[in-house]
Amino acid sequence: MADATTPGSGEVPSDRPRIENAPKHWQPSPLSDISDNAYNRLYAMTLEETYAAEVMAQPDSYADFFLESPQTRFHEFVGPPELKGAEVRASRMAMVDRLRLAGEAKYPDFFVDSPHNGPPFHEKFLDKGPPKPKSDEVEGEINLEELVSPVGERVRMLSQSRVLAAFMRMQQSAGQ
Amino acid sequence: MPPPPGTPPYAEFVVKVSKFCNLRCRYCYEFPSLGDTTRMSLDDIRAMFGTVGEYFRDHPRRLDFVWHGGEPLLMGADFYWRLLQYEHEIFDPLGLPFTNAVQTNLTIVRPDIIRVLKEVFDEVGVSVDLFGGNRVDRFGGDVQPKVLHGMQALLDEGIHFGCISVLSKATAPYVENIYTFFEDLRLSFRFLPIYRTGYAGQLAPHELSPAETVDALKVATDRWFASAVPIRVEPVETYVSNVLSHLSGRGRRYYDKEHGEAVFIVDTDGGVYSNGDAYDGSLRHGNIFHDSFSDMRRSAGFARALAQSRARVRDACTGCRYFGSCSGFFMGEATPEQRWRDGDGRLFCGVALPVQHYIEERLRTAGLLTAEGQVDLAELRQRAGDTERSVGHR
Repeated sequence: MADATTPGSGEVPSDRPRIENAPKHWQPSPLSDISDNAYNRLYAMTLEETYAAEVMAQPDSYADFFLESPQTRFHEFVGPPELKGAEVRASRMAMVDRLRLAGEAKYPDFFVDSPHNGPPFHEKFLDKGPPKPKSDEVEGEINLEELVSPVGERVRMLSQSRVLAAFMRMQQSAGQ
Repeated sequence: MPPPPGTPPYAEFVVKVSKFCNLRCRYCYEFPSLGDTTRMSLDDIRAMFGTVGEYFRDHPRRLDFVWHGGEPLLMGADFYWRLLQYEHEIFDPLGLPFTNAVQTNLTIVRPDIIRVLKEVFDEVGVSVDLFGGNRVDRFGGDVQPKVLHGMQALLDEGIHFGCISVLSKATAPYVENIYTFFEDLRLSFRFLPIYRTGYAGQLAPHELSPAETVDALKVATDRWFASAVPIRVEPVETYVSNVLSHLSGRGRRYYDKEHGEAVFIVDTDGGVYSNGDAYDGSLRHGNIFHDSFSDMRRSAGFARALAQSRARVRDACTGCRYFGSCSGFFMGEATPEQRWRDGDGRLFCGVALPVQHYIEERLRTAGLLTAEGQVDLAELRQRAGDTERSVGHR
């Protein structure tokens, strides 16, 4: 009998997470569940692979490597110097990055018109006001005033934390 | 003279500036050394740059330095400003481009550190597991709240960073949740299975079997396919790339350490090792503070490391349907903990191969392969094109 994961078997892989204490709330998505965005990513990566193959077919071309290393890095090939010079080619994910940017255009910023008879201002979600001046003077040493903020300020900061909010949502979904 | 075929365009140095750490993460492979305050001096750093510059001026590549530990930011901000200055002094005249990255536990977030993260490092990696409570300080206290706070500080400062979540018994049941967290924040990340041990017995409560790792990565793969958020998720994307390359029927890349080695581990004492061999003294290439790079490439330690790496690729990768698309790097640079053997003692690829099988089957099930088993580019283009208007809004 063919292994369910053997390519060409035509069977749908039946194996699913077998970790004994897997949370029960998670239901595997149907295998046909591929997002529109994933099709874009797959298409971009396929074009990149096709191009890589064409470049590698050139005489004296470099092989390309996709590295599994402990760091969050991966690398692409460079083509032969006569094609691309010695520069490292842009990551294949540049296309994906553009997609990401295209999908994030609608952040909630807006103009507030003369509140309380004051001047109008540009409001941006989670805006914390103008950036603090660069603190060149604290180079190499700890500025305690910056480290120890009032309790109220810290509570306010935490309530605005996207990270904390995402973490709490995640914990809730994990049933914790 | 052109570089030999297979020479990568970069060299990455994972530099263990010190093993000293303010945390005692329970699975850390540096655990026995985390209290050791021995550190590289700036003179050591300058000597290392000299060795690297001397060799690579004749073998031009981009030089990627990954500052690692222990906790590398315990070295203080000045250390990194000074080494950046040295890099410019030594590499700029040689025309060698360089980058700096740091892998941090992000428990030290001060204004001077923030400035270094922003202005010295091209990439910042943050270690955060989200589940399990294994990332603790010397007193056993969970440091995660502090790390989450630090992540928010980085976001507020506009510092781009990625994350590593260690895949262990504690986190594997929550792969789906972890993925969603990073998706929520639009942060790229890597699931990093535990791949190296600090002392005998350390990993028993934490380490997944290869089959469990595969199961967890299949869940991550499912989420990658279903996700509407295009963050980078490793190692899933590397595996997808390998499968797409295989299905194109054209790509050919093979890892061989002699010319293809690109990742070097530099220990605090200057010892240089291949990625999979740290810190095996018999496989040490040499000392980057004292030896020339050419001598290290001719050393007995490197010769042994090369022979062993080639044997692993030969034994585990020959005959694999993905070999040539998957370069064999996974086995060529496998750590001892990743050199799995079956009941007959044969080395086997315990994770990459089964996950790549799974990805190929997912593509087939989705109707994206032709009858000949290649990517149906027209179909894929149509599905991608149909959705072009709604990218990111599904």
